[in-house]
Amino acid sequence: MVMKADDGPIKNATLCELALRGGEIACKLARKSLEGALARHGEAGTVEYPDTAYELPVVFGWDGAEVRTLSDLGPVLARADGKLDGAGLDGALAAGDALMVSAEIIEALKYAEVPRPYEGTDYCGFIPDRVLRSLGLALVDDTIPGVAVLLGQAADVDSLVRLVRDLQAKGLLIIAAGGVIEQLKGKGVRMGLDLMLYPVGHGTQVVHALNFAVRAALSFGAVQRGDRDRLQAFLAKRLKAFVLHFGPIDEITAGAAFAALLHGIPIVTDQDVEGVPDKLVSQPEPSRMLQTAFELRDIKVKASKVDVPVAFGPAFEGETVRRPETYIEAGGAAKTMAYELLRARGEDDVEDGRITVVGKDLDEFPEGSVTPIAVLVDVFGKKMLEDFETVLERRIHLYLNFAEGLWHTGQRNIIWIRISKNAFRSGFRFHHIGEILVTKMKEEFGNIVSRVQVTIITDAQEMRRHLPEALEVYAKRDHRLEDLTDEAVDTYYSCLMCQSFAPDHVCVITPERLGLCGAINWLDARTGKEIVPSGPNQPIPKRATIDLAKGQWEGVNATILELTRGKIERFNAYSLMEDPMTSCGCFECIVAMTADVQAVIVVNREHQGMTPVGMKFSTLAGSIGGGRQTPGFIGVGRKYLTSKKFISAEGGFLRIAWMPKELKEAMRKELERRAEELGEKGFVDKIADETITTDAQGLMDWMVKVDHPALRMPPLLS
Amino acid sequence: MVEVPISKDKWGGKVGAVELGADAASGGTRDQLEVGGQGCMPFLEFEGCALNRPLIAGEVLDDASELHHAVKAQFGDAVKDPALWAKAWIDKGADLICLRLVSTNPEERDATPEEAAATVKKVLEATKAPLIVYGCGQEEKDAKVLEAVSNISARERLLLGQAEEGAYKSTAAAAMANEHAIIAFSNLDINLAKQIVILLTDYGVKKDNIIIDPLMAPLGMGLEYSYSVNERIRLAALAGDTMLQVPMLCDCTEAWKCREATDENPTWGDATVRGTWWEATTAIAALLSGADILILRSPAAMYVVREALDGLRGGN
Repeated sequence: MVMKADDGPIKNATLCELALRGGEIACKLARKSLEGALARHGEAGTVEYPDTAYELPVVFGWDGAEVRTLSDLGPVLARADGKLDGAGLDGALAAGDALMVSAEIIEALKYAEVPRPYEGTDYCGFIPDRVLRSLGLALVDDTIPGVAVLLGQAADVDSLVRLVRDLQAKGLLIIAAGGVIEQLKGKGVRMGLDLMLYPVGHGTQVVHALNFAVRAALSFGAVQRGDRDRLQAFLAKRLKAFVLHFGPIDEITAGAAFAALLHGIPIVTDQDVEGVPDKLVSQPEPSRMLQTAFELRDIKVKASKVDVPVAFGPAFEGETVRRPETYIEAGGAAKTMAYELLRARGEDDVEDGRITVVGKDLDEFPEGSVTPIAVLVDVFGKKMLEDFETVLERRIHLYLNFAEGLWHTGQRNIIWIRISKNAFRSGFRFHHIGEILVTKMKEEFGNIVSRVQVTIITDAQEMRRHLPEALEVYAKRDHRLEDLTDEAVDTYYSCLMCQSFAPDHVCVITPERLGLCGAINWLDARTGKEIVPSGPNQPIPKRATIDLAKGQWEGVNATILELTRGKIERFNAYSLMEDPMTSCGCFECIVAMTADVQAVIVVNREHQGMTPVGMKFSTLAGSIGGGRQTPGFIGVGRKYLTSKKFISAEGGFLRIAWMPKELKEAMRKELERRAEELGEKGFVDKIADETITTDAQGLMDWMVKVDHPALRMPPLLS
Repeated sequence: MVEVPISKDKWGGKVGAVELGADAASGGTRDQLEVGGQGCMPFLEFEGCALNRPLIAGEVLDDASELHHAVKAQFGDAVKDPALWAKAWIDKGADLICLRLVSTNPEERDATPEEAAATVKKVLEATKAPLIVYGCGQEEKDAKVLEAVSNISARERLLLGQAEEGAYKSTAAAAMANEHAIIAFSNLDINLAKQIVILLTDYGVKKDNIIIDPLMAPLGMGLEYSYSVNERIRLAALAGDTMLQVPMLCDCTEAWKCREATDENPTWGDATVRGTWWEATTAIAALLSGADILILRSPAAMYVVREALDGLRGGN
């Protein structure tokens, strides 16, 4: 019986039924073969595959029995037969088990009759140990990214050949079983044990793919005879094998499929099946089967070098392209429309590696031109979240600057790009921007995104068509950031990056208090956790609130205690005076209580002069760094100054009485916005700087003179 | 006289023990040593158990052309043959051997994995001591070399070096294939030390097959830094951090790379004596910070360290 998906998807129940029958057929066949062999050779007749240390590997690994002679096979087959009374999914898996053992017996018996049963055919049959050894550990340490088992008969031979070429280009090991062998042969694809494409054969011969996988585990995973659990664990994790199945499903195929599932090997079929998520997946489009399989097995093919005609690397990050050297310019001073947008899209909307240029390419512009430009990046990945978009999008700036002769600044719709004459002469064109982004995004964010496609638009009309979406997304993100409050989330993140030199320091990163180095905000930390799951950013569940005003939570305290190994028990996120957060030494700014305990000063790392607390930045840094809690002093990131949670336990933003002029001017816009939010327009000019005073008395006089709001607050220390 | 009470720390955690070398009962041909197992800070046995004494591994190179003359002089012609060299170390009192296959470096002699494996075989035959084996440090070549080494010494339970973040899969696979132990290297950082153990266990290496090397910086090159990282690793392990409850290896041979240790300078005294003490000082600091295995280059340094070790352990 053969199942075709003529009317609706094939139900799992039907597949299970098929597999059960496949198991029965295989067992019967094996019984018959065994009886024949016993009649010819007697119980003492030897049974073995050529060149292997693992007898009958499937039996060795899964059943555990030692098989030397024909008499050993009876009990093994009886055990297999005994598995054929189940039902449902478990029954089908057991049937797969029975089928593979039977198939192994059938195949081994062929070798008992003639030493080389497949000599003179197109099939290699049993893959000897020496092939496995020659591949070596490369098979399990990801040097060979995976093993593809092609099974069945493809509807379209040309796309099958393209698929094989793609697999070969990516360095995968290929095992072919069924009609695909003849199809590939007909198209002149060479196969053989020395070509990393093994045509094992038809029907029960598919077991040679399985016994190969089993031996990989036995020899590279030090799995012992019959240790099914470790065998399964190793196969599921280390040997990144998958099945690509084509065409109608018969009983043997169904049984073999369940045997594969038993091995932790997922199946992608071109048939319309009901399927099991992550295990049995339908993908009718041949050109997409591979991508689907890669995503199922989390196979990452090492990104090749960035394919651009100019030098590429961090060395060029700081390079500036000056106007006289510029071939073309977009945005910024060119005053053309320019924007970039990275979006997480659905599986079907992203074709990995696709780069499209809409509008004129670089060589259609004369030297010295200006152009509008849009850089649209679409990504897909199972773990990709909308929240990660901004983190990835911000990298566009970095990656593009890596290219020699390419200069990029700004973000969103205020970008400014220049491409140099030299880059143009070297052959740089707009699609190379896509090459850079596709390669680098997958290289750095491979744990999150599996597909990247890039569209470069230089056609103004087309750009205007996409602009509303971009603006809408930017607005949505701003909104999200505004909504992203400490109250709105139930998880914060730790950052332990600095523990190497400040052993007891832990940054607790909340949406409204970024890391004190200024480099890592809550979204970055969240993304960081996905990129390096065992890395320095780990989630902290907030759990019950202990003190809302000071910012103290049970979960945070528990984590701090653990991560400082018992040194620090408590921590207030919003307080300068009571159990404040520790500092490593990387803080962008220091916030310090003034001598009259009425206000705070802020001093940034760049400021070298004296401050009204009688210490310079360097002296202050020395006394608060190194993971200590120093009430009255904290190290912070600049952006925290304008956060609603800035020392909110002690009056917050309006406590600031002094900061260096340079910092004040650099942050003026944000400072003014925050002051207005608090109904204190003009407050920023009440903040003194070094041109006004650098001593305690001077600051007090100034505060009185300008009627500084901090004077009306209770003292910091009582 | 009033008796002054000795304050004791109570530890909840304990470092795991790792077996090195396999005896006949375990299918190998050598002595079997257990390393680690500490339940207290170094030499504070009154606070908890300290199962095993720290081990000293003598360094053997398969190409001694770059070796310092002060070390060469102690072995004579034996440095021309790794097997004889290893034997000399054991005769002098080393617990085990650390063999570095420097000749496999593709930019120098480029010895093949098969040649390297043959050297390992020879050294294994020359002594019954457990063996640590390092490649040349070039990732791609090491993958092939360690695979060959792993296969030729199946069941001998070597300690293979090294796995580090970004380059651990091939070493881990080589170790797992024949149940060898593995060195998990990290660069002077407690969290990185933990991370590589997490990565390895996640990859499928069992924890009782892992020994960490948090990088021992020698005297004058950041020893204080290593000391405090090592100590913190051990404190964390005793406090219950399971991922750090693995024995620690400190490679002290880098001491010979310090200019101050080996430069000829009439006002600095005899360079041979200086080099010896430089390595010994580094090693003693390593012991105090929590090392379970030391790798040493000079037997003269080993004698100093042995004496210190015996003293610190109260003569046993």
